Amino acid sequence: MKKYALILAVKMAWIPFVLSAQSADTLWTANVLGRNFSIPTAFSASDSLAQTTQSAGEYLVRDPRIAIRQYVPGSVSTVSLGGANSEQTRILWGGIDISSGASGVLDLSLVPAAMISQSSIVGGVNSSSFDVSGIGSSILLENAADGKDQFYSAFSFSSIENTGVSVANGGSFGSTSYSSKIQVNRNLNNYSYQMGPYSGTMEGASNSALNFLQRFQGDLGTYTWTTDLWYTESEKLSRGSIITPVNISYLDDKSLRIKLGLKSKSGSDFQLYSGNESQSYTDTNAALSVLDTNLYMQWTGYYGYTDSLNKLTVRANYYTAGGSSRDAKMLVPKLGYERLSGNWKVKLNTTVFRSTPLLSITTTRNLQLLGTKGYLSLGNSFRLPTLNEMYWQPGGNPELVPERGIGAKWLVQKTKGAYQLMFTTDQFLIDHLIQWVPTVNGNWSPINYKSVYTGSGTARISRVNKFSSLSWAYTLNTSRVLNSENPGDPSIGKSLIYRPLSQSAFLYEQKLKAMVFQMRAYQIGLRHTLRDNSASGILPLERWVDVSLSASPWKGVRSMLTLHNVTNASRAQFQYYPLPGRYISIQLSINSIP
Amino acid sequence: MKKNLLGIIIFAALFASCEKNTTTEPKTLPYSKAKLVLNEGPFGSGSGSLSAVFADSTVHEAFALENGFPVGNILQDGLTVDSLLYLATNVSSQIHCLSRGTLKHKWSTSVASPRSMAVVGQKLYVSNWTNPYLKVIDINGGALLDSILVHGLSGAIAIKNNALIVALDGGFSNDHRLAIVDTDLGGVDTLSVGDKPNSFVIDGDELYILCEGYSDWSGTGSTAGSIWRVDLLDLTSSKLAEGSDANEHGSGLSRDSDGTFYFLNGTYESSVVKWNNGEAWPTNNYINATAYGLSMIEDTLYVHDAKDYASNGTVMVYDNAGNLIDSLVTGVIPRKTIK
Repeated sequence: MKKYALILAVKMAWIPFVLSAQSADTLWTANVLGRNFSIPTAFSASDSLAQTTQSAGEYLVRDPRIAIRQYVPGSVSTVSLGGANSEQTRILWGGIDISSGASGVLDLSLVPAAMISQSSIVGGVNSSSFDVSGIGSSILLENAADGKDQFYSAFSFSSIENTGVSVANGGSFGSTSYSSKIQVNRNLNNYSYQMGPYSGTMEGASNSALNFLQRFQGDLGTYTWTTDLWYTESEKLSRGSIITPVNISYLDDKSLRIKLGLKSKSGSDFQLYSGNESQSYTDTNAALSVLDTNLYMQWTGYYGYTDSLNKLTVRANYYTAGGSSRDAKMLVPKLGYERLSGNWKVKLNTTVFRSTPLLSITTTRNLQLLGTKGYLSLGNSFRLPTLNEMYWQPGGNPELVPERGIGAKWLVQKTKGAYQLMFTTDQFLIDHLIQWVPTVNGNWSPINYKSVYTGSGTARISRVNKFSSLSWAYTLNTSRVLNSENPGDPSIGKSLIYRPLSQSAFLYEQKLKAMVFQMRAYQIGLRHTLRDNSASGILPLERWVDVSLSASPWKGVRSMLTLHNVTNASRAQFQYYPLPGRYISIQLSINSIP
Repeated sequence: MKKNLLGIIIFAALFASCEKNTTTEPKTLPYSKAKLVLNEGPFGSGSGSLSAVFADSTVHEAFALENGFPVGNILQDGLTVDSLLYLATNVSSQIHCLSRGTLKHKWSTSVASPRSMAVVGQKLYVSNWTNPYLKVIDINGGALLDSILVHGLSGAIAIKNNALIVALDGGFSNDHRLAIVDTDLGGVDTLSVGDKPNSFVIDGDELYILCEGYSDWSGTGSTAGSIWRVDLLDLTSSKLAEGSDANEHGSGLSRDSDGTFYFLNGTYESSVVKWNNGEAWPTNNYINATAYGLSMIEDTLYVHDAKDYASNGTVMVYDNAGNLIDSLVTGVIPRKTIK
């Protein structure tokens, strides 16, 4: 080892805060088509209890379109879907892109699962309609206050000593509605592992996180005003892989996000967002002792005007990144237009990057054929280089140009009685893909290096009736490196790394006399970790099953007992970082609304 | 009669199960003629590997194949001593002892961040980037025998008689010294040379040192690489050549039987240069390459190309006239080839 791999400080976060969902006892298959172009995730009523104490990183495993990468439960979790990588998968909060302008990602282990709804996942080219570099996909987070008096306390405990506590309440005073939620997660990750010839007990991989969300909402004449506050604090220990000695690295992270909004009944929408994040990282792995701090700020001003036919948006984003490894700032103005009616709906987004205008256009046509509904979207998009990529010391490359993509998305859906069948596919060609490469003086530096193709197709069938729910979704992913700045690049013609070749999720839920039984079966396909796809870097196919029983023993009390990974399957998302085998968790909530 | 027949059958069966006792020549051990390429592996996640190169084939992942477990993260160095092979894994912080001929594992011991190794007598000396001590290991069982204070983070090691010459390269920082360790008496002297000494060639009583020069990532403190000579009789040092630019660095010093020196003109993505004593720092490429490591075995150059550091690498084999004679696919980040 001559040089350490570049350490990217990564961070990563929607759901209408709808307590009434907890009382639902049937599978949600809300069919949400329309402007968001989100494709619903098959969440169940049992899942709503898990949602009260889990992070988004744990919760989104249920959706086979999503690839979550984490070392151990609660560690830094990055997400990608639709063939896009983590930087190309954007996280939005109330319409504001909050993916880090420094690193380009958001740590989903620091996002409460309660911010995720069935409508949160927007895959494919349509994500470019949301403020951004939506080259691949978007995850929409939300925190609502509907004014209803509601309260819950929720607890979770597991046999691997991972715990979660959350308290939430909502209501109104005068004409003001409010909601607040505090969630604390503490994962000791005390589990045994068996990985090939290695066995032992995981140590040095604990983490904790605190999330506080507060929203106020009210009317002011013809305007509705909102204020949102989101505070996060976390500590994570990382021990390295199981074939290295336990050398603890430590990541401390604090962030404060504030959003103010004013929306008129006539269609004007103003928002002001401020995000401030500080991280400190200490790595004592072997010979390397790295101390790194990251100070990141984002200011966003937004104005939108919507009438029956059109939507116009103006955004100004100002990013700063400071700390020990960079000192940079960037102003990114954006103008967007969306045509809301007509056979072909059009969205335009334009921005200026280093004096160069960039334009993305997405057009969508609704389809209806032989009783099936669907749509086809075509468009182009781009991902701006991050401040780390441009200004990291040493090695940052201020000459980087944005990644550019053209994409197509197709969806069809058919509902007949209790059955629904859905098929969707996303295809992308991405050029100027940014990759870090070594240079002759020993520094690693990012360059616009590759052209790639990514494709993803998901089929889902579901059946819901009064007593049971069934859903099976299967995703196939394809990717290829088409070209490279280096003609001898060994990755040309190969799959991109860490893209599962397939993913599948099966859900069966049965309402029994006094409780609900749920079984979830998962499959994640083979993943390559080496760019030339050589066999030594393969993470093999994994299958695992979770079963749970939930009940409401008293009015206002809900409980769930889950046996995770029933078959004790060996699992890992990075080589030599085993995930837990079989373990038990208990969840309990006390609600004001049964 | 029936009992006698049964006894005969049993008696015959016992003898039939005996093998004919013959004396045969010992078979050639499977890996004894192979050269071994040390592949670091991807940093952090994954494992290094050993590629065993034969005349007409290569066995990849030879360590894992023979032992059923990976060698560890960042295979840093390998040393063959008689019938044994010692491997140092830097991030996994292990020293493995194997049979050189079969690559079967014998013992492992923990040493934090090992870099290089040398054997004197029954002791294995291991340098490291964690603390200013040289670790002393029993070659027969791996027990830690001693720690020798060498006054700095240590890298390359050379042996002259029973003395060790240890490069104090500063790890990720800078240093410009050698430690001379008397293994008999335990005394340690230090000697100043250029910034970040990283490789040696011994010629009689003279030691040639290639100093990498310091790469200051965060400022303007970079220094150029240099070549030094040390008289091992009186421990005096002299600088023979130095790069004219602070961005000129060097690594992997080797020498052929004609006395010509070869090294890489950097630490990443480097070309091979040639140098003779009395010349200035070489600026012309002898072999154009994008190399990460260089080895020389019996006047044959092994140029290690790590490609994109996330794929299998390649070792190009050249004769000392610069002619390409072979190209081998190896594991991830090939670092060094040993006999």
